[in-house]
Amino acid sequence: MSFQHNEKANAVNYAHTLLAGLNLPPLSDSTFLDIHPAINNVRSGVQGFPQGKNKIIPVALANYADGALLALKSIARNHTVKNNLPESGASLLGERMALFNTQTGQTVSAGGSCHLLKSRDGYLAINLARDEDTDLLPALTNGKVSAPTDKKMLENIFKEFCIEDLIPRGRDLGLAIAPVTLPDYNSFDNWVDVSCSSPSQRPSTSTSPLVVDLSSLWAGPLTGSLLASLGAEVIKVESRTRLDGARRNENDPAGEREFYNLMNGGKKSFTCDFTTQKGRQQLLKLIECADIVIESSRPRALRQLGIHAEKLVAEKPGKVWLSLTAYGRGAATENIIGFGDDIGVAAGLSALMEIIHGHPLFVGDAIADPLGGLHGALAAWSCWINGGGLINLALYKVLGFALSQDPLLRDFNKNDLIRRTSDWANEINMSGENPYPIRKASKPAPLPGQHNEEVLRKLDAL
Amino acid sequence: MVQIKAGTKLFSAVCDTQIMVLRVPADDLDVTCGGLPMQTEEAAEKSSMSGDAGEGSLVGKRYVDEAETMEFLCTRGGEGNISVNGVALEIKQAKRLPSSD
Repeated sequence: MSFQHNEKANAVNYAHTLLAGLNLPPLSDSTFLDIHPAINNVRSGVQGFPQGKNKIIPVALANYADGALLALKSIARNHTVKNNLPESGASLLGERMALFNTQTGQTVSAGGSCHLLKSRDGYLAINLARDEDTDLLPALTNGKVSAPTDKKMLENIFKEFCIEDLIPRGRDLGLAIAPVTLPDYNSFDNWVDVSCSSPSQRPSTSTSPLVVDLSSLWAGPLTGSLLASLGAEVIKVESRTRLDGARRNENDPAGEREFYNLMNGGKKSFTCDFTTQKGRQQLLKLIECADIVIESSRPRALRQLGIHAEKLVAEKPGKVWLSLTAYGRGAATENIIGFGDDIGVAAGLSALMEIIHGHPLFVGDAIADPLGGLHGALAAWSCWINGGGLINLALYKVLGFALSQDPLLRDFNKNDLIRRTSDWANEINMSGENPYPIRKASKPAPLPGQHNEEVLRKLDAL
Repeated sequence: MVQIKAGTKLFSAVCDTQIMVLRVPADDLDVTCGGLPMQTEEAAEKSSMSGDAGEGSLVGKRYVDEAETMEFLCTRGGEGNISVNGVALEIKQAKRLPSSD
């Protein structure tokens, strides 16, 4: 079965679906020229570089990214602002790989920290992204491995354990760990959950919203940068003792610095010490002033600092709070951490590769991050237009919902998926398409705390 | 006293606190919460706290002794303070953010 343009996998239809999920009207201008999902995947870089060498990804990831950006463009205030946004949503999926010169389509993630390992009853992904994560491996394995450990040792020990033992224990320990399984794609009702503070209209849409961006790494900062492109004033806020780990300095490769600039150029930088009373007061005041807050922490982290999203949203009509989590707010899931690659595994992508190609493989580079960042911007900006609220955006649900638009996944059909994969392979072989050009950062990202004085002066004047 | 090793889960006898052992020295340890020994099973009924509660335990925080010879992760917070051999444990500083995921 070849791709048909009436499938929901095409970008325009996906944009309509996303807008409908926000109770917004469909695109008024749907002249966007859809390209074949396989070609779009290759051009986006999600298939890896050099193009097309990896195992075929049989789902339309690049088209979903294009659809999310199309929807965002449709709610932009005017044409000028629209032109500040990236040209293609798809190109965002591969830009970190292009700039970091990394590879995908293997059993280790492009970023290098996430591993697909075999347990007694199937594969799982474990992402040891933080230095201290390896300290947790003895506890994860009941003392069977001692830290420090290497991957070989982990591979051998994991074979002794079952998935249902490792996943809950790993999540208790605060590790990013996910099974290689297909979720039930019929269970994704919507991609976002917004609780509106009150039906009252926010004061005015004429001014630019003030965005306080507490997020780090990729998804949240991408959302912040897209909102900056839409005309918002964005202040990136970091704890002075715990800066965004994605920051790079002049000794780092130019590509890695450029990626940080793409995510954070055009923002202001404010730092304070979250561990002191004074720093926490500054943080709270800034958050209170914000029209839009972006954060990608576990809810308990801010609660432990005395910052309560629900209360702050209720107190200021019109305020938008974008809570980006791995699996969603709520007692059952809000303490589970996840990064882009392991969330991609949880959403079924590696299981899909195993079913089609015989081996579980990573798909793209931290795929849930760029997709989550695009959807986050759409959710935050539309919520700002609609009068505010608390947005519960789970990266897992964004990706799961996107994939659930694919009829071959919803009513899972292995034979049709295999047929599609070979059709797409032929399509790619016939085309000599180049990857999308890599974006250039319009401005360098500010140094940590570069705008402290200016921000404090504004706070004092209030 | 219970034999504990990395991966052992311990429950408070007085409050909701739950911890997991990350690393411990080979010595016998008297791990208490709210003044009473912690247990490997959750008690059906909680006892009352012995002595002052202190600040309690915070979920997600790592707790260490002063010399950092042992480390525990709080997997559920509660009102009781965690102590080992009569000395209250301290919160370890937050993990550094990853440089890339």
